[in-house]
Amino acid sequence: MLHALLHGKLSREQENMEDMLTSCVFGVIKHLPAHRMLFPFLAQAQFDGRALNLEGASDASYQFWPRLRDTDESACEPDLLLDVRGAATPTICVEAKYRSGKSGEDDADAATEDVADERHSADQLARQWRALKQLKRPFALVYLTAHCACPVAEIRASLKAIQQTSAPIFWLSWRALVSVIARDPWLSEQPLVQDLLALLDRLEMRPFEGISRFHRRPMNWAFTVRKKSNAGAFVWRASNAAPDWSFRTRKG
Amino acid sequence: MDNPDDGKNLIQMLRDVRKYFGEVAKLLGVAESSLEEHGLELAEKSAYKYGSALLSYPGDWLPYVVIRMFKVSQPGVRVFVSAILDLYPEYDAVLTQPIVCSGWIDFGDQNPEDVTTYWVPSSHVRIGHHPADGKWYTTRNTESKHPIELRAFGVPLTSILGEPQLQSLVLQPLLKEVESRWPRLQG
Repeated sequence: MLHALLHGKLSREQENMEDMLTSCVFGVIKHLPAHRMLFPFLAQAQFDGRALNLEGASDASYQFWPRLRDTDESACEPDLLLDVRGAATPTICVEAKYRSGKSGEDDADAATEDVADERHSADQLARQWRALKQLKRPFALVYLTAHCACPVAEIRASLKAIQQTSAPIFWLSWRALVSVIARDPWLSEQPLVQDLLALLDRLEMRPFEGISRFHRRPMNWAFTVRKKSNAGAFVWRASNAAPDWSFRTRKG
Repeated sequence: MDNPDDGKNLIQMLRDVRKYFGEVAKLLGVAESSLEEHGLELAEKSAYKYGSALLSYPGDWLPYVVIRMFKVSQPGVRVFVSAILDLYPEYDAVLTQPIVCSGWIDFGDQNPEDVTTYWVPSSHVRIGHHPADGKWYTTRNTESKHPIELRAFGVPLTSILGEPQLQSLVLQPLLKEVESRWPRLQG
């Protein structure tokens, strides 16, 4: 699937599917040493000045799209559940997004303090948080998105939905993978990782690194004026008249 | 003789423009999240208004300026970070490079949602022709029935090489100013 994405064999709609992205990215990460790729990546998850604690982590097992039960027996399906051996937080749940936001976001009215009800909130992270609580072991919930910077309002809305001011919910950007790879020369040399970088490039998932330099290419065409009456022809602002210009190829 | 690469170059040119917009969007996205973390609330999702899809307005198909505007505790005030990417040719002498502009505007007793604000993102150039030197300036429109006060500064877009520069050149000075005026924003 990674190569289908890389070679543009998928429709735009398919490319935008977060499940596809989760599968391609974590499908690669799974086959690399966790201490080189998975843990440095997850270690960048943070929110409100707190970072995900992976101290003591030695290895991890992956469960893609597990079904978890909420308190009221309704089910939810996060994208990835990681069992991290040796870590103080052994269960890490990843909810991945690409172009969409959380599903079932509580609307502004429902999120007011008067009516917010932890058990009945539709907020996707809130539902997963409640389901994770049922596992009865320390956990962290990582909201993995394409944002360049933390979607603070979205996470605060989830915290409000579960009526907590501080819960183990963290934000991580897909874009952080680029810096993890850049810091480790061994990783950069791995063909699988090079494919992954190409995928991140294709999906425009690099972090903000300033404005690129653009090359001005010589072109042999111009806007030309049809009528002599309007010498300045290409106007930048409105005129009620029909445009007085056209595309023409410059000869010679 | 036609240049055989003209067609390819035309497509590439537009892709370069889209890439450029993508990078500017990242810049504004980082600014948005950082300011939200400090308690500012985004006032509007759209990055630009007043564009056009009409054939007779081709110059307005692409945005000239893009902006993030934020609410603070004072209802008549908007904090903003904008990028002036281009303006009309009459500003060519003033706008010699893209500028990131940041500051606040106080509409006084007017509700900012009821006021025409198309000029706010480009005010740095349109009002007073200020240089992109990072220095704060203050402008007041006291003659109007509804006085408006604007305080802002600008820096060259190309001086922002990444998030650290965005923080040090734009966001930290902005937050320092905002928090000194509306201290209850925090938390």
